[in-house]
Amino acid sequence: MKDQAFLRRKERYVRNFVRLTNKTLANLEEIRNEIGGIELIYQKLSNLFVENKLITDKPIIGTFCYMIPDEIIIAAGGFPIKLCGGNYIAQIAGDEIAPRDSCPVVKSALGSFEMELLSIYTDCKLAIVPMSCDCKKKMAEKLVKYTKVLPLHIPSVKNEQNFKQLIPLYKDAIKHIENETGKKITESSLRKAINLTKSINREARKLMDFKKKLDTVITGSQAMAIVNAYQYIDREEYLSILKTINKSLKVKVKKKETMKRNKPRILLTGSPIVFPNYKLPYSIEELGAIIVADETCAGDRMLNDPVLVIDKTYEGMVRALVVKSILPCTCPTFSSNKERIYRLKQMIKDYQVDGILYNVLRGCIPYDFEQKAVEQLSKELEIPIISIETDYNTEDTEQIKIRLEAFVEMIKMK
Amino acid sequence: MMKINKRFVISGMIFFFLIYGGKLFNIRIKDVTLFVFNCPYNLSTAIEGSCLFFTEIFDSNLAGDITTALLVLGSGILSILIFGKLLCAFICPFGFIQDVLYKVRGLFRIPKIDFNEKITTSLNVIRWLLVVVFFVGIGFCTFCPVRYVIPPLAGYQTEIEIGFFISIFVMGLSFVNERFFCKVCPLGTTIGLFNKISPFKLKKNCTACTECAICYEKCPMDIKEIYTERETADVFMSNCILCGECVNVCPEDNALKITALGVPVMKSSRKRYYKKNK
Ligand code: SF4
Ligand code: SF4
Ligand code: SF4
Ligand code: SF4
Repeated sequence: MKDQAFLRRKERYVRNFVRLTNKTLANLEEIRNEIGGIELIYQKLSNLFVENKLITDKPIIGTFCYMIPDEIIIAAGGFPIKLCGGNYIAQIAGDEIAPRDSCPVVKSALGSFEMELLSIYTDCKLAIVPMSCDCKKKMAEKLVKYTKVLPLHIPSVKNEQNFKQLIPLYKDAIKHIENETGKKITESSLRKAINLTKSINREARKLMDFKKKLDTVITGSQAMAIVNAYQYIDREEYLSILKTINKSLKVKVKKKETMKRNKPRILLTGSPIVFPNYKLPYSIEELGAIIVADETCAGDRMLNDPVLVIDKTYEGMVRALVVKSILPCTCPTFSSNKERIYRLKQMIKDYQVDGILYNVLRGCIPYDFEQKAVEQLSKELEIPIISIETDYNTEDTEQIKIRLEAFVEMIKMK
Repeated sequence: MMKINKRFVISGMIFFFLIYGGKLFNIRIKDVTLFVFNCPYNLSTAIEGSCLFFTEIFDSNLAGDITTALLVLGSGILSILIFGKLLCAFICPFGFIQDVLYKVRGLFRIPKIDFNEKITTSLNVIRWLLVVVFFVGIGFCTFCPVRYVIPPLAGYQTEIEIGFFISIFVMGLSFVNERFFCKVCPLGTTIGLFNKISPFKLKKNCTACTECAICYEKCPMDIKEIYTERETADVFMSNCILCGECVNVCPEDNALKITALGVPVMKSSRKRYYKKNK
């Protein structure tokens, strides 16, 4: 039994956690750009993060990063959720568990578990942790205190030999998931799950295509919330919300209800941006810029790459999912991260980008390492770049705004 | 479910024309050949394959007749210059037979066999060795697996030589591995030598590619460069059969394209991807 002192502390954490979430939600709702259906997204986020309601009656299987395909969880009758944390209060709670120099994503995940901040953490049946970065590796061990944990080895180099070893590992993960959900994955349930995510991917792509247009109909913060929310909503339901949103955006384009055209168009990349930590996107958009391209892993990257099943057997589908989860992944925890540079280059062209915003979460070494290469790209393409190193704290927001403002003005003058 | 695409239908029609054209419609185009494995031991083929005349250049009855020899061999080379790898994609009857075999396997849900990179590398060596064997005048017909497939299909029997056993082996493998014979085919490889000047080419936009490897997963010839290449637009490898599958499955806009005389006739795009891969 938890003692009184814990409950009092928990109550304090929860209060602040909710306050912070509400602030982000309020900021989002204030954006003067109405989109039909987006209120459903906000409502879902509020249900989970503010009211802490039960969002599903399926067993919750938690994952981190990009490398665990949701399909295998859905097919087994589970509810896949990304446990990466984005809340500053949770980060503070995690400070006592993880070392000072570890990243806020991990700290806030740990803090959420420790302080039992949300149902998705307390009800989590199994956490599958890909061994991507060092923080995740060490976190996996700490999580054992709260839930069942399955560490999943991810090779640092993408080659045939390493890839071959992955298939049995993913199959093993499937067994673990099936044990938790009590339901075996069948060929038809897996096919159904793949078709579902395929449809979501298709709609998500439509959403991204809207952002490519010079006359934007959606702000980056809004788009980010929509994509972020994917992790926390039942996928069938999410698909229908996404369809509503896309329809409404289409109408806006038709009616020419677009936003001002000459805003500097920003590409956001770097460490993950997880709800409700929208400090950077919200600040820069408040200053008149607009985030059109999002390369971060809790953002558009999560829904960008489609699965292609070539061999329609169970084996073939698992293979296709592993291919999709590893090969196009532009995560810098892979030793070579050239794919990401090419990707950014292509995005700069596709989204007609004027400037790059590079987010380094304090403690996130892989993205910090890759910063130089992106700066090099920025020089080569003559697209200005600004790097912001911060964590989830809210104290440095004003300081960051001053730097962002100078950056935005500089682009406007060009 | 068997997936029937346009290429399969067209190559099927060409197949029937080439194999049975002579028999059924009495179409026999003399002294013109196509640089594909359309075995002339099928005595009523509509247009003969050039293979026999190149590999048995001294034995075949061309030796005495220079004009016919020039016509037969010249038209073979001309077919390479005009069609390039479309010979493999659409025209070669043995290519079509392999496609049928592989599709039947899919129909019965028999697991396929994929080769690892080691085997693929060895096959690539064998392929060039076979080119040498093919052209030095030893006579490929002795080993040729086609001889025990196409002539019998048209109702002609040939004597059993070592090629018969090779044929069983090759057909078996082609059943579980897509276009297995094409992976070592001396004709395909020879056509590949003309890729640089071919009117039809496969090109890549290396920046648009995400290295998702979907194309590689799909490619019947296991051409790795198609996904790993990041330097040059030229990913038209000598063993490519220009089947266009990579373009059909690539989910990135303009990452892959097939051009005819420099004009794109087929381009990868997300839209195409969704359409083709339901
Ligand atoms: S046996 Fe083979 S090489 Fe010889 S003519 Fe027939 S198909 Fe051509
Ligand atoms: S590579 Fe295949 S399709 Fe091309 S000539 Fe050889 S057998 Fe025919
Ligand atoms: S590279 Fe493309 S066109 Fe060539 S064989 Fe492979 S899939 Fe077919
Ligand atoms: S399918 Fe397209 S994007 Fe994927 S690796 Fe091949 S060329 Fe690149």
